[in-house]
Amino acid sequence: MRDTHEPAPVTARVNGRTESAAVAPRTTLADYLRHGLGLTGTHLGCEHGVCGACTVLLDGNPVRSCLTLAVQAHGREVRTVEGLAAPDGTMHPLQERFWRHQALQCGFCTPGFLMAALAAVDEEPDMSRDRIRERLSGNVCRCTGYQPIVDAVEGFSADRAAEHAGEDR
Amino acid sequence: MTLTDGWVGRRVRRSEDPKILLGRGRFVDDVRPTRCLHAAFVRSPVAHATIVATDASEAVQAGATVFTAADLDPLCTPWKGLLDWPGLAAGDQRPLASGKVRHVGEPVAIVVAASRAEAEDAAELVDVEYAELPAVVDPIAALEPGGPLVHDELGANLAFESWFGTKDEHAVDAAFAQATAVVEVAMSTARHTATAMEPRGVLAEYDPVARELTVRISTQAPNMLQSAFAEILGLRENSVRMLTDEVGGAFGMKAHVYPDEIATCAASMLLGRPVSWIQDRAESLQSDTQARDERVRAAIALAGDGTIIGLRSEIVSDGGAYSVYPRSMVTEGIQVSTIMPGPYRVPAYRSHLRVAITNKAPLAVYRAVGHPVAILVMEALLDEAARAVKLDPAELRRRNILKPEELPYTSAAGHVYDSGSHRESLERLVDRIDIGRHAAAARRRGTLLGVGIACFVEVTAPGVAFYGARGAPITAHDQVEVRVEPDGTATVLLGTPGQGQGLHTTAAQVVADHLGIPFDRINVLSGDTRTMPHGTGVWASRSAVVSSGAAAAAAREVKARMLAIAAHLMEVDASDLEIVDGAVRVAGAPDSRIDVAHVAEVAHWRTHQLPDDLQVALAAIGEYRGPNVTFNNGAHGAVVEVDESSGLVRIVDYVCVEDCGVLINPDIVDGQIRGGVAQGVGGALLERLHYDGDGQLLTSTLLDYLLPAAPDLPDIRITHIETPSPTPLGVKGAGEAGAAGAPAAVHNAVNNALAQRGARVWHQPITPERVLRALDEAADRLWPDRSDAPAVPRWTDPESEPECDQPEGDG
Repeated sequence: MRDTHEPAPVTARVNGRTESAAVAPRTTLADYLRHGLGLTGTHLGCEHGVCGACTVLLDGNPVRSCLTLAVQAHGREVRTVEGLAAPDGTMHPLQERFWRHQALQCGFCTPGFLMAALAAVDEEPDMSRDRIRERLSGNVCRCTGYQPIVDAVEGFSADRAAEHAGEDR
Repeated sequence: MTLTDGWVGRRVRRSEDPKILLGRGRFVDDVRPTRCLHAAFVRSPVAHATIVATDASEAVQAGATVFTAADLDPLCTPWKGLLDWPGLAAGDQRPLASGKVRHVGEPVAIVVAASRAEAEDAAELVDVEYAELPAVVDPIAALEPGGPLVHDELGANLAFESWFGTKDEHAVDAAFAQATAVVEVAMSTARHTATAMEPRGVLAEYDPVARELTVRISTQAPNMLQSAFAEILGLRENSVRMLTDEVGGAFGMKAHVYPDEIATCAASMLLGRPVSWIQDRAESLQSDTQARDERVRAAIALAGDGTIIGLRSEIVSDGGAYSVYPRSMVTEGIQVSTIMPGPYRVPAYRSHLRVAITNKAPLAVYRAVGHPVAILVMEALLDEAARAVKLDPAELRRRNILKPEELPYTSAAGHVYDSGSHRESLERLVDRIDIGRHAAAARRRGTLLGVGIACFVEVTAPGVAFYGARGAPITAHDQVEVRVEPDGTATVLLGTPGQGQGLHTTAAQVVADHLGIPFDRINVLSGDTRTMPHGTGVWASRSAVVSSGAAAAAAREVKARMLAIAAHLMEVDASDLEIVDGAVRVAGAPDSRIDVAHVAEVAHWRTHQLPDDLQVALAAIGEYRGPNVTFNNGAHGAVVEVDESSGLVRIVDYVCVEDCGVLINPDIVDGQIRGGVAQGVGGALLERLHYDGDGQLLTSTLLDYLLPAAPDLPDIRITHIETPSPTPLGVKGAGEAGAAGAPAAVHNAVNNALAQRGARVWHQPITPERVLRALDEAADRLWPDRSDAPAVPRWTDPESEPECDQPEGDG
């Protein structure tokens, strides 16, 4: 039987780069990203899966990185807030919308909202405001009252729909 | 509408945001120095007990270092928040519990290891033997003589008692004796907590050679902590350096000395290595300061035409186990008492306040401090009074609310309302609410529709009188440095860094106008007490007034120096010059101009071109000077649907009319209002730290302690009125106005709905259970089990109890 503390290998694509490490099996994905890879944009707000601040995309699906073990990411694709902008630093259109609508104040919850919203819009490109509120109900923001976050996600969805309509022509 | 045509008043995008959005913000846990150790705490699992023995041998065998009170007490002077309120009594606080534990979550031992996981593992191995004592849980029972004592040496659980209001107590009796209608309510609000998304955390690095302590910390008051930490740890103030970059929310909760933070510093001093402690959420719910734990009985006396002629209140505030340093445990209770008359003409008011000591986490200031409770009680009284005298609730308020010609107005509790738009706010609110628009949907869903309004005033930007003059290391002015670099860009150093509300952006907007340099050429820095000018932190909605006021003063001084240099270079009189958009030009002759960059270049490198007596340093520290306090005002309105089958309350519309004077950045103010309303809605409907009869905290995860999520809130419609304040920029604070009025508006809306069935609720949070119970009891369907409503104090006869002068307050 394997020693529960014996480091286990993890190889994952993180924001488009292949990263390999040996981690203690109990290491959470959040701790590995933050302290193993220095990707401190992912934040820990509750460490018990409620607040959503630590949300990252695993193979495109939003997961709580505080409740996901690093070894579960082995052989898979991880996307964090650091992986949203273009290589030259240009903001992702969703980040740009968050800035325009002032969808953040302290910004601690923001990376989680960005990742959760991105996955939501990918799945449901045409959400109503109420539907956006429901889809983001797993993320807590204590500063904004959510309205500007809804504005930003709604605006991003509309931008994307317009872009796709342009492509179809 | 804006009152200026400069950068002030514009909806500028925040300069703080790009790095946060890109994941490049720096919160406390984002920094790890080399050789950093990690701490975890052993905390009390019980509310009240004697510590019999502590055995850390297994943890030490596992490789951890464990310190208890015996190790840290020699390094630390005990502390307690004792403002010089007459009679205020409190027990000493220390970094680790010594002898007794007094609330669940109180730190007992600090465990330090190579990683946080190892420290947490080792903490599990520390064996503490407790001899449990009866817990003091109910604040009213706590005040009865003969019960158990939280602090034996105090001889009682009464921390503070005072009467506030009209000096002539008989005036209130006379008003009630001649009233046409008297209405009384007995209400409570539940203990809740700020729940900043970034938990508290500290990274302490002690240099034993220089005897210097560097502390990276999630705080809203770095300079205050610098002084307090130096005092407690016996260090020179210039040897204590506080660092903050991003702060993930604070809301009043991160403005105190915390035992675990001092213990982490002390551990670094003993070990000579950096020690990091990052709080987890259970620790946050157990040990962050808590708030809003108030029980209030109040009565209002009216003449036949609905005119208010008298008001009285009886308040018991549950202060918890310790009086936090340096702000103390009494501020909330005092403001529940003194804010209650609100924006109304109340000719006679008496209020009796007692603050109890209990075996719970300390009660302290949280966004809008006392205002939400005071406004809730007053507005509930007004709605009940309107029912009693059969007046429309808006009309009753209209007959009593202050008119512009009555300002400045001194309230019966002694507050001076300097300026405002009390009457207009009410009228604008009433205009914007259309309950008829929601009637059809409510009928379709079979719900009870209700509308509630609440008018408010709020203390903002108080002066030195409340804390500094009462002995605390908290001042009222702030310092801001403005300097122009050789290329004509400007750097602003803020004494008060903020907690996420955009102070860098607003400072740059103000400096842009007062210096004449465009917004995008201004960099704002903050967050290092070693290099930044002094500031007293974020509290009481003060930063827009005080910090911006200081920034404007510094900018004007630097501008005057640039004008003097430019006048020499252009061979004109300085008084004929102006600086617009980065260019110095002769007023009325825009073609005669030189760039600010040229002035700056000369001032830095070509001073030989200037006369000897010209000041060439293009840098100045400004300070704020202004009135001792300025009151904002406004009105909230909520429309709710109450589902009679589930007891659930849904807010279907929310309107806030708000007057914070001149708006520096309307988007930022809107954000403050919405965020405050969200927290107020949380208090009204969801948030409760639930202590059981043994003082055990039952809500120590975010699954149990409910925060508003996106579907719990509607879009919030905001109307601004800009009545300039008598401060230098005409600005008032805005950070707490949302939280102040929302609990009252929501509560009144629910009771407006329930009144259709003859029912009411009186206690927050308004849980489905409480709604269903109220509906059933109104229909004579009595529940077999006891209500979960807390006890509310009985009236006390005014005898010769101590009386206090009116403070300025902490919003």
